[in-house]
Amino acid sequence: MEIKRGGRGVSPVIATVLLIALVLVMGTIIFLWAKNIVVEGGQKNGQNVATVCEQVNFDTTYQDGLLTVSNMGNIPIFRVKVEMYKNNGFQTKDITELTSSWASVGLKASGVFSGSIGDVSGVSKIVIIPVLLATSGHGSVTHTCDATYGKDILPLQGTF
Amino acid sequence: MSLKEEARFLKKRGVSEMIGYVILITIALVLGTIVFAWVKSYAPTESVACPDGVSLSVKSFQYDCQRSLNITLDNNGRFSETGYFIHATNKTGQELAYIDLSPYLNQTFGGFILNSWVSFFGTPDNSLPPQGQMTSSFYLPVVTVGGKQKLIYGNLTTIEIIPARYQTINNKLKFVTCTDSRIQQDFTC
Repeated sequence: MEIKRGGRGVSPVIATVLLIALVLVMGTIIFLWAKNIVVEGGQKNGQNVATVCEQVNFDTTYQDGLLTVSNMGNIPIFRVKVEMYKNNGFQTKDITELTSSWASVGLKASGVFSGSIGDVSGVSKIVIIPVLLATSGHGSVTHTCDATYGKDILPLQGTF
Repeated sequence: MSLKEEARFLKKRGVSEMIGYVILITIALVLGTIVFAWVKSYAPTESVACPDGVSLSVKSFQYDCQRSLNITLDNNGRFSETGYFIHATNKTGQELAYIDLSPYLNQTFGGFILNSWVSFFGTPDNSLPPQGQMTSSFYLPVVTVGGKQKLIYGNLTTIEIIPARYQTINNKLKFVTCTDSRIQQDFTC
């Protein structure tokens, strides 16, 4: 059998270099794309924001018509969600919907909020859930911690 | 192998083994980097916390149940501190101290008001060493009602003091509050 010679083509060395360069460029593009997805959930202090919720430490009471939230830890609490249980159901509202005196920057370490959250007659329980501010590929995002990191306020006599 | 089979075998096309290895290794490296970056975000890092042994105590205080409150704090811990947070209650039985007294610090007598806390010397370092003392004076606010001055917060019943210090965490200097070392002082008016 006669092997055809004289056909034009790229030198094997150049072809190898081109292929390696192509793979590296595609790999870099895929990595940068995937990196954005990885941090989409948000990061705080270099950690996934969901894991930072464990470090949040706060205390809360409802007395004399005032809700008090005291940040006892070093993780700033940007907002809180207020769950009010009433008539076998509950309603969740952001603290900024209930009061205008919540600081726009939230509660820094050792910060305290105290204010009225409106009518709570008939409420059997209030749960306060922290909301953190995290950074992601799209800028700042809020992250509501899981309900297990919330604190219950059970009614004191004549409070609710 | 017949000539025909040999010709068919020689015609089969494929990627060079060397190129195949290079591509596979590159894919493995890229995937490994992606997974590493993802898992790293879930790995626990050094948390922002105060060391054990940070402590402040109230050495003495004077409260006239009116506008004047003077407290002398003593660093009886093992670490230097930069300042403290001070909150008060104005009703017996109040669980959380929510009245921030730092805005009423009289800076003429010592201390600096910084972002709702009191800095001992106004510098971003731990300037009060162990066994150091600092006296702070507060002048509480009043409001005029019907020509008479009335204390906005009434009589204070408790003050709560939380020490603060600068701590190096992950090679960065961070401001931390030492909530576990908080102290309370009751008043009787």
